Amino acid sequence: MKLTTDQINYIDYVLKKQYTFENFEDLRVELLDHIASDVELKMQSDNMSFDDALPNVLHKWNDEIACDRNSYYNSVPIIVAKLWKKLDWKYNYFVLLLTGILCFGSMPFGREVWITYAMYSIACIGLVLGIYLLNLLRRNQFNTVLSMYAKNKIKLYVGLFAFALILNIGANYSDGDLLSRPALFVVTHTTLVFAVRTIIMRKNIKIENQLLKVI
Amino acid sequence: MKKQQQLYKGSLNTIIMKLLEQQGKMYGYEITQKVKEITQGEMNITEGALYPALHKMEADGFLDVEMDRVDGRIRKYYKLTESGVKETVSRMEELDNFIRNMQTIVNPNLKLDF
Repeated sequence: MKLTTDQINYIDYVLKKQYTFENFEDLRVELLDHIASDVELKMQSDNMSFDDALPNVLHKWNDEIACDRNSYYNSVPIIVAKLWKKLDWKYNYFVLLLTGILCFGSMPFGREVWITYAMYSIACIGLVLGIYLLNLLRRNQFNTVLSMYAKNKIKLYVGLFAFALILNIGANYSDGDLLSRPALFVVTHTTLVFAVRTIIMRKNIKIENQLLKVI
Repeated sequence: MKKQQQLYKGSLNTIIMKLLEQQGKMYGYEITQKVKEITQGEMNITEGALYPALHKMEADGFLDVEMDRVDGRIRKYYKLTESGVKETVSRMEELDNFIRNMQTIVNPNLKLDF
């Protein structure tokens, strides 16, 4: 028994509005197909109407598609939060650790100017990556699990990067030397964050191209 | 039954990869149904385990995706990449060894031919 277009659209509406999947188009189309297939089977094997079968199937899915209010990512479906947490482990904590190592490793060279030059070089890379990333996000045509992750707090990171950079230039200017570098941690960290988010957005382009083929 | 599901859990990725190797390309729902069919309902892959596993393998480069419009909706098919094929062979070898070792421990007199 195949669902009608209206019934498929209704499941899509439920996923968007009742289960906050509006901004995760890639995952939503996948779950929509799975839920619709499940509903079709239920209607056929248990002789149920669409109105009875859908709540039955959604109940089974609830632990994955509802929001976990106690989670750090409490406004996204659990299935998305799980993936984002994995990305955090893979990228964010690694980035934080790497920043710590780099900044800690630079401490013995506190009175050497080349560290400040290195910091400004990192800032240049950060600037290029930041502009490239913002451009990728601007051109992004579908909101997907990866693009939303890349977008998450990105304005905050850009703001922090710019603020830290200006602060450091100001400090160097007023001191008349290149010895102070209050922005070292923030600039290094945000540059690495931009690099990671750029990698994620490059992966997202592949998903986007697949979606563009069929939508 | 629940304890049995725990035993299967560690082999989920290998099971998915093996199915994809046999079938060429499959979509999420099809994988759950195929596993249920092959094991005559003994093994049940939950959606909560299936999709994170598929997405992880996709991110690791073992799976490629292809989208198609079927029955008025978009269907996402998964298929093995070149590295996915190699990984499947290596995981199947590991699984074969595991089964052989378990068999030796549980039932030393029975010989298995793979």
